[in-house]
Amino acid sequence: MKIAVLMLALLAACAQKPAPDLRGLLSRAAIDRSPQPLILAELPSQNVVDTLIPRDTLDGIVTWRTGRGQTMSFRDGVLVATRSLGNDLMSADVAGTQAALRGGGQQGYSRLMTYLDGQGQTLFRSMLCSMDIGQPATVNSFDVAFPTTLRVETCYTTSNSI
Amino acid sequence: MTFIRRNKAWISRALCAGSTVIVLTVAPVSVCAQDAPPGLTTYAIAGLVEMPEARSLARDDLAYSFSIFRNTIRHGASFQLSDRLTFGLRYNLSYFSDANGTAFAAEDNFDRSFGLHYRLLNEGTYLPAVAVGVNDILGTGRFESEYLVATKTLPRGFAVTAGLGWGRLASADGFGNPLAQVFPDLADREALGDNNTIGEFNSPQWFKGDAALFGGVTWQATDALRLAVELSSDAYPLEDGLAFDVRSQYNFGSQYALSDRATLGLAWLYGSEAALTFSYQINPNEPRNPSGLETSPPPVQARAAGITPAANWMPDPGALSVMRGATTVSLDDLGIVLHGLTFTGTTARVEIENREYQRSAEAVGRTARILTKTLVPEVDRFDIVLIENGLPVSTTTIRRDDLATYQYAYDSAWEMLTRSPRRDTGPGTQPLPGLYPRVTYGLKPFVAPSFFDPDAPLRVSAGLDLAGQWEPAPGIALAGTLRKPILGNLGTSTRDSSSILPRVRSEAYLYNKADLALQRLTASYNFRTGASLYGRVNTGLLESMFGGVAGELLWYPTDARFAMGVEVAHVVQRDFDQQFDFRNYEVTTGHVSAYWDMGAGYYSQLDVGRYLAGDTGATLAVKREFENGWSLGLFATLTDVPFDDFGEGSFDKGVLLTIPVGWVTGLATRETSDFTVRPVLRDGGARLDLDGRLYGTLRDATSAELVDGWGRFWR
Repeated sequence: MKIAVLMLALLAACAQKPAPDLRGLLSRAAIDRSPQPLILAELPSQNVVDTLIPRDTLDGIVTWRTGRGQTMSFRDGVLVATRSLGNDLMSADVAGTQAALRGGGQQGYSRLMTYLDGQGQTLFRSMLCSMDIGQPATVNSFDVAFPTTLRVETCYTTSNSI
Repeated sequence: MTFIRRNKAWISRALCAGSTVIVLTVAPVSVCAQDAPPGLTTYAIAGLVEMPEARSLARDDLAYSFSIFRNTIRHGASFQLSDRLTFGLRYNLSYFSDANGTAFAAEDNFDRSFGLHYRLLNEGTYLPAVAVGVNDILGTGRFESEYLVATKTLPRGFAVTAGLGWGRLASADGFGNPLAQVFPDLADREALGDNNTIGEFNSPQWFKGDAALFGGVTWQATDALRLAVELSSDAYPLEDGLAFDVRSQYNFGSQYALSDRATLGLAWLYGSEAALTFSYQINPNEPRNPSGLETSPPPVQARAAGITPAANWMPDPGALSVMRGATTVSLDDLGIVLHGLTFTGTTARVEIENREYQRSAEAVGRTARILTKTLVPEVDRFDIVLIENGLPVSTTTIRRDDLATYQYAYDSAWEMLTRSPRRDTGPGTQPLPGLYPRVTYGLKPFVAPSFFDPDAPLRVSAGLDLAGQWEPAPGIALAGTLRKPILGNLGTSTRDSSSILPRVRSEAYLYNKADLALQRLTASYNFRTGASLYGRVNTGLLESMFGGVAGELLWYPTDARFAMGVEVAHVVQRDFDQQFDFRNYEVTTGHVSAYWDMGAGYYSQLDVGRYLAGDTGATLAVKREFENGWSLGLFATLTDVPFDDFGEGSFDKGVLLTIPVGWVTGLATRETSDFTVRPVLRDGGARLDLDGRLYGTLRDATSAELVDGWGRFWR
């Protein structure tokens, strides 16, 4: 029996290290020196904080990766896929969100997503969304204030599982 | 640039000027009030403290409970086989400090048994849920009991239970059986614990004799704390005064949820004893990381448009060598071995060995993406062949451009499944030049437990296995495993076998004393004889107790849910030291086997033939299988050996459990932990423990299983 392997796996699963405080390590000077754009991402449920850099572009979708091989893919800045995060967004149809962004807000469009369930089967999720027209906002990022437009997208689903 | 938030647990921030910020919030339209899940009794079924409720666990829930009170340790495990049916396995250890007069001759009593709990009626607005249960079906009869129970949940977290028990559950304040008013034969019952042979069904006793009332109230005081009070109808007639004193039939319990899986409890039992309980509950459908934590797959590399190779295009030898080298290295990084890479025109035949991924579809998907990078743009089609133990099993044909087109499609898995036909590969492989001969070896820790020894309920051995294999050609292997036990008490058993059959398994304890055991040393040849037909010949030291020669033929259409095989072996019993000596017992054994994936997560296997002790009969195994690799099942073997000759247990039976290591870690691995738990290991109905039987070797790589696991193609 391969119980030993299972026991070691259990021990490894329990030995979760605290996430490094990347915010403390990063600085405006370090960001400005970086030859590539950076995303700082947090996944509190897994105690993960990491930076991502662009990996590849395909069909207008840019995939960013962490040093540990986790990836996030964006279509025009809207997330459409993740990998190696444990409960990944496998794919998404975000055409409604993109149209709302272009149109300055919209009511009653759909956002479709797929995940994997516990048995590795495709799990479909659909949501009914609306986006407001937005308002000016400022985001402070490492000593620099960026003028932005804040838009709130609210999505409803018949399930509360996502 | 965009900021996304999903479900408040998922925050990413982009560093970019002049951006639009989107905050996505998910709000449920309606959230149904969920009943709190039921608590577990000391027997690991839904209930109060020791008495059952009419509720059930969630489907596929797997629960374990441990409880300890004076002179008593109880392990309980249960599995929710269907929405209504619960299967329970109990192991009760009673230690009798006083050697005077017990039903089991003043010995400590270690008792294991099965039980079933079936919810007959669901709870309605006004009517309670109703369940029926039977305990100690295949045990000694010590815990033999049946019950009919009703439970109604009430507002504010309360639930009320009332039940009628028979057998042991009528041992306190019993009264005449009400069922006997209609069925007079149910009026009387033999004394508890001495009415059946261990391991036989004792159905004639069910619902006979006196009945008694039990019941109680539970209160889910907070999200984590559950309190219960019950009137027990179990008087502990065989333990009262020996293990502990029963002074009251009222029990009080509290359970505190340490996490969503673990619970710690305290109880005051029978007016005299404090009990400590611990339970752990999981559902195989709910891994922590359903899509896995393995590193993200390689990117798809789109090829330039407008490439039109000549009709007779073939890669030149230099390009072929470069492609083979680059593909080998890239796949190796992913835990996939490139076995062969050849071309027919613009179609590449890519033979791979999946060493890492629980579902073959993930290995195929990752291989396809690697090929978009390592193969020249003229190649427009990939035939990806899955190889298992040198045998080509299935071929998946993928059009190169489909990968780029559908990688980010909403239903990307389905888009590829419908465009990527799968088929039986047929005989023959085309290995890379220089791949053979090859040597693989490894050193691994092992833990080997043994349960239910009357002298020591748990025996265990731990140490190291050194395994090596030399393959001169595809399908041909010389392999061996050397085992060095380092820790444990598995080899200290002194309980002699009392079997009157040839002692093919009951002297396992003598084999466990070997200091350095050559567990296996075999030469094997795996081959294909045609469409859907696979064969295997295996000779040498086949397992720790037998050596000889074995042959197997398997008919297994790659897209089928059904397979049939035949296996014949002539073997000689090995000496206890597990070196190269043999004992004076040899036998020809063999079986005809039928394998059936029944759908809906159920699997069955029937083996009919001659067993190691020369007995003939059949083994039926039924499993609940999960696509993530979990399986849990039962097996039983009936042969022409009379129950009395078989000895304790009457016939061979047990529980089969497979836990995929990746389910725990979230990482990609084909490693599993496999448990076969028997109440007792005897000689009747014993089969050879052959390594690499064909069905288990091939199944993961068949077309049918590729389809079942296709959700992971893009993982």
